[in-house]
Amino acid sequence: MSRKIKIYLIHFFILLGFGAFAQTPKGFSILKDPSSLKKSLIEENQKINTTESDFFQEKYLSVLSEKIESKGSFFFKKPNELRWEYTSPFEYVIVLTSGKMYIKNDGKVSRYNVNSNKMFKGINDMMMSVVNGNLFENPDYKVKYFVSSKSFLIELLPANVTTQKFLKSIQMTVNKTDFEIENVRMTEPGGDYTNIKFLNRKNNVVISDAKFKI
Amino acid sequence: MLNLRFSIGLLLIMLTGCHQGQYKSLIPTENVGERSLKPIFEDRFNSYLFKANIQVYTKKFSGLLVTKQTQLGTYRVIFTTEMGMKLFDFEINQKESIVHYSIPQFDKPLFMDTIKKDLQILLVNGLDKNAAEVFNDKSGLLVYKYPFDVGSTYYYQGENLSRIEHAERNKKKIVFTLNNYEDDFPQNISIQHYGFRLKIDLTNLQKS
Repeated sequence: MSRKIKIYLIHFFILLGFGAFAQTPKGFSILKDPSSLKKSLIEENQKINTTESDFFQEKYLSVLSEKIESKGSFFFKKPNELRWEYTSPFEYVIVLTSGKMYIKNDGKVSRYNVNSNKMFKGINDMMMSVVNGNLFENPDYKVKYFVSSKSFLIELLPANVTTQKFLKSIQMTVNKTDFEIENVRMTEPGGDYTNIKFLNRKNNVVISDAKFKI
Repeated sequence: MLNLRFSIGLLLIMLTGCHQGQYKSLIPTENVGERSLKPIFEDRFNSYLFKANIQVYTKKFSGLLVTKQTQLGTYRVIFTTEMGMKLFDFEINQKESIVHYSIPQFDKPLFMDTIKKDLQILLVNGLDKNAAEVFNDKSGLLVYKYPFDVGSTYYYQGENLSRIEHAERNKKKIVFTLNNYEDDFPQNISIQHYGFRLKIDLTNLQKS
């Protein structure tokens, strides 16, 4: 091996090292043993039958100087009923219930059979996993765990090549005290991202069945 | 039989829908006064956010459409779902358009070329301004005619730009309707294609 190639290789591995270092999110360090976190997440999740929460969504696009902001709320009832509703700056409702997906857009309701459509199945599974807190159990993602003084960060990297084309990572910030998901960030390969922050979360309150009918 | 009847019906609708020679009734004028063509996206380097509904054949897509002027004569157009997933992202300048990103469903030459053409027309971008002819229509609107692509584009200008029609061989192919102006900007823009089942409805969400 010539000296030149050796130097190139050394540079390559140094860069690779920096690359790995840069992958740790700012303010976090790698959580060496995630087993107790996983256990706590499952335990907390078992206590929850219903959840409702407001959310604040920000879409970052590198070409824009400002983020696109939208707001709404979600309602979830075990095992698999979900209403995800935008109220500002537009009205848009997604209801997932017993294998069906309903979308209300501009006052019109469309119905989709989740299992007959791969894309909707993907959306369904992902949304359910996010509210259920068990996305890390999904074999379609490689999971990394990080920790800071205030929270845990679970990073999911899609294993599937098709998914990798539009999704680089999903980062979920979990509160260290109550193990609730505070924030979800979905980053695209080009660096643009969607950030969803959950606010005013209430667990185990009565949610009327009417919420899952549109 | 039903198919045949349907085809005949469709043919009849298509035939009656083609207003051949409708542009022949336009009267040439030089009396433009102060009513020069006012493109809605002026050179202000602003970004605009629309709620968008796109119907292609029987498929419906909804989401947010963002337009941003990045340089003089260059615009970036991005379509995302309500939940933030990017569906397409392209750049239009006066010479060409560049696709930065597209999901496979949209990455079809016919669809992309059509939608890029629509946006070129709406943005009044890349038109040869010196080649404009000016007319009056029956209702007194000023009509600016520009050669564009293989046809002509007609901009109907009253107090504001209210309608745009693109015609090829004197048959209208695309009709843009611009309604509900607030602060010199239409709150609703509808783009209807003829001969290609594509309809785009845009509602302005904010102006920044």
